Amino acid sequence: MTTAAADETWERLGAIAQLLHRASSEVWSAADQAAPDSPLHDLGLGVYLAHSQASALMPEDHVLPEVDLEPEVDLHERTALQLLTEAEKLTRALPLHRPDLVAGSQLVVDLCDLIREARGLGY
Amino acid sequence: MATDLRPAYAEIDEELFDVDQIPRTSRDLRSVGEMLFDVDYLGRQLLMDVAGDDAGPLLRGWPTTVATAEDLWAALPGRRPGVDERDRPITRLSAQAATIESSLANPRAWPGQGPIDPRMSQMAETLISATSLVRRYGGEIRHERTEAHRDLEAARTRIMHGLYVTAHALNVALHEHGRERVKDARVTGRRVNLAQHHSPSTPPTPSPRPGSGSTG
Repeated sequence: MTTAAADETWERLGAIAQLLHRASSEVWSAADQAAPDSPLHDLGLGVYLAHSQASALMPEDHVLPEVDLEPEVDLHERTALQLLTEAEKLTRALPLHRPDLVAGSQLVVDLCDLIREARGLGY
Repeated sequence: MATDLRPAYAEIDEELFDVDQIPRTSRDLRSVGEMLFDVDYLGRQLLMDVAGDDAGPLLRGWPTTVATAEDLWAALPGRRPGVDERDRPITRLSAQAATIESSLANPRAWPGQGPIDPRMSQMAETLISATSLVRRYGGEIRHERTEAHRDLEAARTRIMHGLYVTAHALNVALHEHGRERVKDARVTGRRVNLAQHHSPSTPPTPSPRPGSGSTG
C-alpha cells in the first residue's frame, strides 16, 4: 500500500473515531437525564466501546485530525444517530482486506447494531 | 433510403432523464468489485433493519447465499489443487450451511416452508452475477502477478466480510425471535418447546457419566 493510501485510511479511521467520541458523549449526556435502568446507558457504553475499537485499529503514533467532513454542519448539532450513520458510511471505503484491518469487519457489525438500537430508542 | 432515427432517440432520452423512472439496461454493468461492495451494503442494511419476524425468511435463504458465495470463491482464478488452507473458512461455512439446509428440509422443522427474505435473495443473485463474470473473464487474469494476487485476496476477504455481516443479521433475527417467543410464553403461561436439533457450531455438551465426577 502506498503512503498516500495509508494516510487516507488512518484519516478515515480518525474521523470515524471522532464521530463516535462525539456520539458517545451525546448519548451519555442523555443517559444522565434518564432513569438508572434506561437502555441509553447500554447504548452509550456500546458507542464508547465502538470508539475504542476504531481507535485501536490505528497506529499508536497516529494523531487524530480535527473532523471537518461537512463544514456547513456543526458536529455538535447532529444527533447520535446521525453521527453513527456518518461513521458507518465512512467505514464502507475502508480496505478491510488488509491484515492490520482484520478487526474492521467487527467494527462494521457493531456500528450497524448500534444504529439499529438507536433507531429502536427513537433517535 | 435512410430512416430518420431522431424521434426514437428522443424517446430514449426522455426515459433516461425522467427522474421518476429507472431506465432498464440490457445487462449488469457492475464490476465484480462493485458487486461485492453491493453485497456488503445489502448486509449492512439488513443488519440495521432486522427484526424477529425476519428470522424464518432469512434462515430459509441463508444456505443458498452461502452456496453462491462458495461458487464465487471457487471460480476465482489461482485456486491451488487439492486441499488448500486458504479455503478452510468457506469450506467450514458451507458445511454448516449444508447442515442447516438438510434440517430445513424436514417438514416438521422450524421455520418450515415459506418465503425467502428478498434481501437475502438479492445478495444471492448479486453473488451469482459476480460468479458469471469471473467465469467469463477470469481466464484473462494473470493471477501470478502480485497486483492480481492482491486483488484476488481482497475479493476473498470481501466475500467473507459480506457473509460475516449477513450471518450476524441472521443471528440478531433468531435471537429476537427467541425473545419474542419467551415473552409470548410468559403472557400466555405456556412453556416454550425447545428445539430437538442443535446448531452444528454448538454441539450439545455431553452429560457426565454417573460416577465420573470428583469423589472428593
